[in-house]
Amino acid sequence: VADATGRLRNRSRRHDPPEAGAHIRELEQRLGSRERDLAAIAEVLEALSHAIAHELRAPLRAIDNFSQILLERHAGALDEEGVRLLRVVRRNAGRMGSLVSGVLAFAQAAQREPILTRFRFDALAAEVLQASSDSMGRTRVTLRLAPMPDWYADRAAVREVLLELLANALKFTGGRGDEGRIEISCRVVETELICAVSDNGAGFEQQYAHKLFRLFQRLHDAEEFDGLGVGLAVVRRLIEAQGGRVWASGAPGDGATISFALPRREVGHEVADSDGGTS
Amino acid sequence: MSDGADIEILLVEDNPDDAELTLRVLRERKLANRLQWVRNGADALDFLFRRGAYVGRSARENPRLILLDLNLPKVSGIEVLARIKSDPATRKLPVVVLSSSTHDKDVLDSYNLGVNSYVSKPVQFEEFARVVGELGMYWLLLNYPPAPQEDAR
Repeated sequence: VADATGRLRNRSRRHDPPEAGAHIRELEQRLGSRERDLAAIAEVLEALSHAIAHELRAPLRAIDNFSQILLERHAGALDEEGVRLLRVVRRNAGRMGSLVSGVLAFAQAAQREPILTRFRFDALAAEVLQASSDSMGRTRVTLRLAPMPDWYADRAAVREVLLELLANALKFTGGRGDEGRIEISCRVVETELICAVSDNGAGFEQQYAHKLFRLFQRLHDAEEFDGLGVGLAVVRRLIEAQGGRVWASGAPGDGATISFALPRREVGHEVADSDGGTS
Repeated sequence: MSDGADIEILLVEDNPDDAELTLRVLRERKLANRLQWVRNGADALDFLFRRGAYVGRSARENPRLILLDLNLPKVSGIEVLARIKSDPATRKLPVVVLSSSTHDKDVLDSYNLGVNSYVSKPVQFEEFARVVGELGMYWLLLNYPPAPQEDAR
């Protein structure tokens, strides 16, 4: 933010006549107050995720562990119905634990400051495929990469995004056995890198596409496919934090395509000249 | 929990339920016979540096493992870690942070201070028993510590 503000200030000083000084000062004041708002929000987020990590987990650990000890060591003191009820308690403690982990993963993604580096996209994609190979089962995964220049982005975040999208596609394609197909295709369109992960799995109704990227939103029953509704919400945070966007298309029983676009970023002044961006 | 004999594990944990769970697991693995539990960072430092309630601690050796929670009343786990690792008498003691937090900053601060290991405290029963049990086995049975020195200073 500070960086963007600095650029804005420089730009306004360069282009505006001196009499615009008052106006510039007012804009600067407004920007300053926005920066303070943002910093305050970041602080709240930080405190919240810390509280989730530390404070919410401890009582959950006690519920999960002591109820299990009760079940293992003292089941004799309960009748059949008592044991069943205790298992309901334990199942919900487990669910709560997963939800807390999900919120934490989301909060950490939201807080992440992008670390931009220059990297080869094909190497990254190969790495993701390699890392996911154990969970592919009988689904056939193909990679289609158009030739592209090195990309300047948050490599670790893009890696996580690709891993998540692939895992997501594998989950919804697993039921198709030998027929399962996933394609990851990436290409550069104008000033964006566009990646799409398509599968021929369970799919979804297009009218709900916007809900896919919201935290804890799921379009399938828990009995059908397990999951919390965290993965794609994290994907969206990680991509938008780099100035990119995400979208999805699909049809029930006919597969889904989840896509993201990353803007071409300037590496200091290195790329700026060849792009003609600043002169 | 122990009299006379040297303490092998110092457990620094403010939550009595977490402490009980940790003790249960270590006891099942027969690793909890010589364990001292302290509930805050100030007591941990008193124990290690033989001050306060522990001024007469007769044991010759320091514990072979310190299990340290980070979120502690009075003196935080990070401060305890900093003290242990900055004093020649205690810096060789293996300190394992056992925390609910996997917050980047907590992890980074701990490693910068020289923590020997950082372990996320699991929520679920099977995981918790496995992690704490393996930790105890590793540090007390597998790990080879330096010989105790007459005067570490």
